[in-house]
Amino acid sequence: MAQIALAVLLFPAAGAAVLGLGALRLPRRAVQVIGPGVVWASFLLVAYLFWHSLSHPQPLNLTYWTWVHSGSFQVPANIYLDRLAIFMGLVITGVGGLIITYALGYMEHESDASYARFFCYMDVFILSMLTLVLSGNFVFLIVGWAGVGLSSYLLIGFWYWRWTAVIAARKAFVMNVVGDIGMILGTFIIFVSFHQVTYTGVFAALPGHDTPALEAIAFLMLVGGVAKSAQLPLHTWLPDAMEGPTPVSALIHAATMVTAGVYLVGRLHPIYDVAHYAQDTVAAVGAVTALFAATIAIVQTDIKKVLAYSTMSQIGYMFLGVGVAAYAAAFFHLMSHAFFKALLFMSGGNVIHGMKDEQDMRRYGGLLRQMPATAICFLVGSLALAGIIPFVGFWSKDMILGAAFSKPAGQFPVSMWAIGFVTAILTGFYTGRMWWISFAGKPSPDRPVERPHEAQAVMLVPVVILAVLATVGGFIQMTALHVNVTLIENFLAPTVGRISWSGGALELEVTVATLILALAAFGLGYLIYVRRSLPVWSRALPFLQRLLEHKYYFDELYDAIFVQTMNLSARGGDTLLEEPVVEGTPEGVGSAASSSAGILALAQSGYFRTYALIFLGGALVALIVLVAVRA
Amino acid sequence: MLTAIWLLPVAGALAVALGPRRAGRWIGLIAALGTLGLTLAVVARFDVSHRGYQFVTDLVWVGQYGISYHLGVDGISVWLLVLNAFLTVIAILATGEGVPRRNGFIALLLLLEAGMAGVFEAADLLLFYVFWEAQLVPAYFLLWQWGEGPRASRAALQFVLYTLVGSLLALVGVILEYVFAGVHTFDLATLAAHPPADGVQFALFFLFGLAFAIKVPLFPFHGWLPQAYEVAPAPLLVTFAGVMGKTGAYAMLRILVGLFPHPVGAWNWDAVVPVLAMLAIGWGALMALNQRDAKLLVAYSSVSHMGFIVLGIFSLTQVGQQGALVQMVNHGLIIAALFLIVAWVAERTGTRDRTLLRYLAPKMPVLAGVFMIVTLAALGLPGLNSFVGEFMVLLGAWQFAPWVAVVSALGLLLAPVYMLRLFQGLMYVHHGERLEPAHVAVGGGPGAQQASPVATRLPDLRPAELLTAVPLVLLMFLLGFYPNLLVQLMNSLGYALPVPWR
Repeated sequence: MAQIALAVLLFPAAGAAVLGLGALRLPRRAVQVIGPGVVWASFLLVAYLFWHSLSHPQPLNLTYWTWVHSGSFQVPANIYLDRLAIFMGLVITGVGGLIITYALGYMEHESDASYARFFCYMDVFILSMLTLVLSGNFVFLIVGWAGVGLSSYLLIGFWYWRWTAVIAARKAFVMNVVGDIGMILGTFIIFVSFHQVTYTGVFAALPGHDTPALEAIAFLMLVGGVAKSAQLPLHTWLPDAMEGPTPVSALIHAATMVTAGVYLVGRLHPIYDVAHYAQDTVAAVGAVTALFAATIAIVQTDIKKVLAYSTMSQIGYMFLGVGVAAYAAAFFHLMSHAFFKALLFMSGGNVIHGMKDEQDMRRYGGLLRQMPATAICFLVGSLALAGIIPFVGFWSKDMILGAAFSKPAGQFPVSMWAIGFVTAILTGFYTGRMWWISFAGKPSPDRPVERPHEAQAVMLVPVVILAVLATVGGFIQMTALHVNVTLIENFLAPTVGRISWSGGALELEVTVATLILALAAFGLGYLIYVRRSLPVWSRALPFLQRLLEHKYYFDELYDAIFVQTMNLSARGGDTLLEEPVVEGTPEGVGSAASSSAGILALAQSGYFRTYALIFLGGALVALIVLVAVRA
Repeated sequence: MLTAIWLLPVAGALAVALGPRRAGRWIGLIAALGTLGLTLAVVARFDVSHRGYQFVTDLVWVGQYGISYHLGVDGISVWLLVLNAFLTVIAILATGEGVPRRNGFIALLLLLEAGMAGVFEAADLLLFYVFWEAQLVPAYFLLWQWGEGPRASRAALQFVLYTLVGSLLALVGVILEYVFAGVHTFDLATLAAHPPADGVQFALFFLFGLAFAIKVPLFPFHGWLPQAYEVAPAPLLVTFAGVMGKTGAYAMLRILVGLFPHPVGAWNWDAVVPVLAMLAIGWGALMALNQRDAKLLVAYSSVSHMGFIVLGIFSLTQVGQQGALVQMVNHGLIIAALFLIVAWVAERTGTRDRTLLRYLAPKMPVLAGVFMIVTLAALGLPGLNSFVGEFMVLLGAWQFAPWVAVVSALGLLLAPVYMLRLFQGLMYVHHGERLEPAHVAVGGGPGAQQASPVATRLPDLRPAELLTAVPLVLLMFLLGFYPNLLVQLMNSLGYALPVPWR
């Protein structure tokens, strides 16, 4: 078992190494085999681990080597293999494999070297993400965490001949480092409190530990989670990240990487279950981000930006889920979101590919006729995103909302539910708007391609597979409608436990009401944007539209507060302090001395002599002192 | 054996200087490789369970004053010896045709190696001081004679003035320590066992501390560094920046911490130094942000990184101090690679101004790949080597005072900003540009042609250059994934530190 778990990591590592070293030499055919091949190999191994865990649910702690042993600070390189890790591994390698296969077609226009470089980075990403979920201690968690941030940087900035991509990549990296630092400091408190950094050791030492330290740990870890999952207030990098190629958006900024924060809270649930303030903060951050992002998504015209904000919003739901301790629901939504968001990005990618990289959906229109398969798949994804029955998003999102609604813990969960409820209606609206504008109605006169073709097979098959999964995937966990099918909850129960409370009849009614309102909002888009029988809402509220289009001015605010301050203090420090004082001192002293006493004028007459003189002089002084002391 | 480690480079230097002109580089390389082999043999035979110095040579030198020729290695010095020998090999490999009077340069590099090796090996305070001064002579000549640009001699002079001030203070300190310790010996282990009175410790801490702080250099004593690094040729910087600063940090751990466990006078220096280190981390990073010259940017990043090392030493925790030692090795590898890369770029394009350079990646994909990994290591990416040391140092600092660790962690946040400015600025397009992709990656495509502001033809890394870069990059990966390779040898100490290492 130890070898298999390690091999899960070694396959993508080897793939990345071969592709990176051979980027300039490897033929395209070899890249096409290695790039996705190693991911599928990992998938098969994880599938085996999954099968094995069905009969052996107890977690395995596999230690490989000692990373560092410095006094009491001991870090093993170990893997903690439990059902949560396996569940995440399946999503990462499964959905990841589909996306990387899809990218074979999407990236076909790249030069050979670029093509190899792309799949090298993709394999680095899979490796990092698997490290993140398989790690058995906090240090390697950080290693995987930062590796994921790195892959994100590499892939956002993949087209480095575009400035917008270069700067978006840097922004993502720096924001992720903010999160990394939070996690590093959190790990410090863990070590100081428990004198160890492995999951098994820390969780065993938890009972009876004082809560202030645990709250501090939970909040600092949350900084990392918020940064990686693009939640408020560390979210501004995600929309910019759409500068990367679309498969990247699908893989990293939708299906896997950004869900790392959800995994983190789930993995550390023994801490969050005790640290109530931090746990409530998780729920509040999630709910507010869900609403916040949904409002911005309403005014976006770039199809990828709509999807980016919808991602933020949906991850907000997952945070809400783990924040009310409905872990199984949150992880179900994580899986379902991976299906339908990857589906949306890849079918959207087919459109972008067919329309010569045009991303403004106002210049699409009526694509249903030319790209029927893509349009239907996109519709499936849209309905899943909007939470329409029977698609997977309905089952998972309403499981979270239901759990929040009926959690017997005072007003807090219900108020979080209320925010999620409003968000669900907005989600229906912006998703509908996106689909109707792009695929229905008449073709836009500004289309860059008059008659786009349907995508090629390598790009269509993964999309269709995901469409099927998004359609039927929900039937494995039907708690939302109080049907007793709970496969996800059963599987994850040994790791994160079951949802301990159950909803009443009122919860069921609320779920149905949410469904109807979201469906109505979806249909409203038809009336506004296709039939044009209703006026566009923003005409009446230009102020609100401007606020939303500027994303509540977060970028401008951060630029003024942080970037400008940093640059100004760097410039000011250099010209006011560093150059005149720190570097100027000896010269100032020197010139003063040479002009007045002329001591250092000696130095200018012959460096070596002076030096030798001073050295000898020093030695002489030493000798005299020594003799004097002896005497 | 330890005598051979510093004597072999001296012999090599003589052979290079006196031997046939054409074979100079080969003779130097053989001497450096031989020394590296000797240091690795020390590592192989190092006994981690031993207490006290190992491989000891102890001969009476001036018996009347208790001065002896006493060499030894322990867990603190063993890896620094290897680093010194390894980076000297790299430096000689990097000394290409372009270096004038090449044999003299290589001979002095070897002398510098000998001096630094002696500093790491000395187990006698006076002997330590002799080597400490000896390393200064070749460094000064290398800076003065081989410095680049019109400011070379001034930078060399400034370097010497700064270090001489420190040396003279240290000399006074050596004598006072002898007088006040009252054991009539310069033997470090004996002195450590008999620390002078608290007030005297305070004065001595001040004297030695200043000398070592200048050498490291620690904020605000780094005034000599930007100019010295600016004029120094890259092969010199491999050891000058890669090892020499570490002699200061090593001395802090060996002498300041080891000999003066309780330096409490007007201030508590145990609290002052970490704050200075914290300021160094922040200040170096801030200054790096404001540099246009790539070499100066790297120089200031070094100020920031050396701050981490000092912080670890004065966190007075085992994890912090061992982290500082790990970081000394890591920083040596990284800074050497960074200066080499900047020099390779400058040699091809004729400038180091990062605002003039752009979009080099399609023309030099191999260099871009190496540069990227080194950049990531330098900014402390978890998984590569620098993260290990910084993590351990900050963990130690957290145990010393959490707020110091928190403020110092800002250095981790600024590092990606300035390092990515440098890397992206040189390799990718600049503000507001949008070029067509370079379809033919090797040699550049149509976009690459028009984007070239300086030179029309830019060769990628040559095999000789790869030979110096590859070992550095491999070690960055190795030490990132298996840092215990270093740490596991560290617990064997020549004499006990105030905070025991177990």
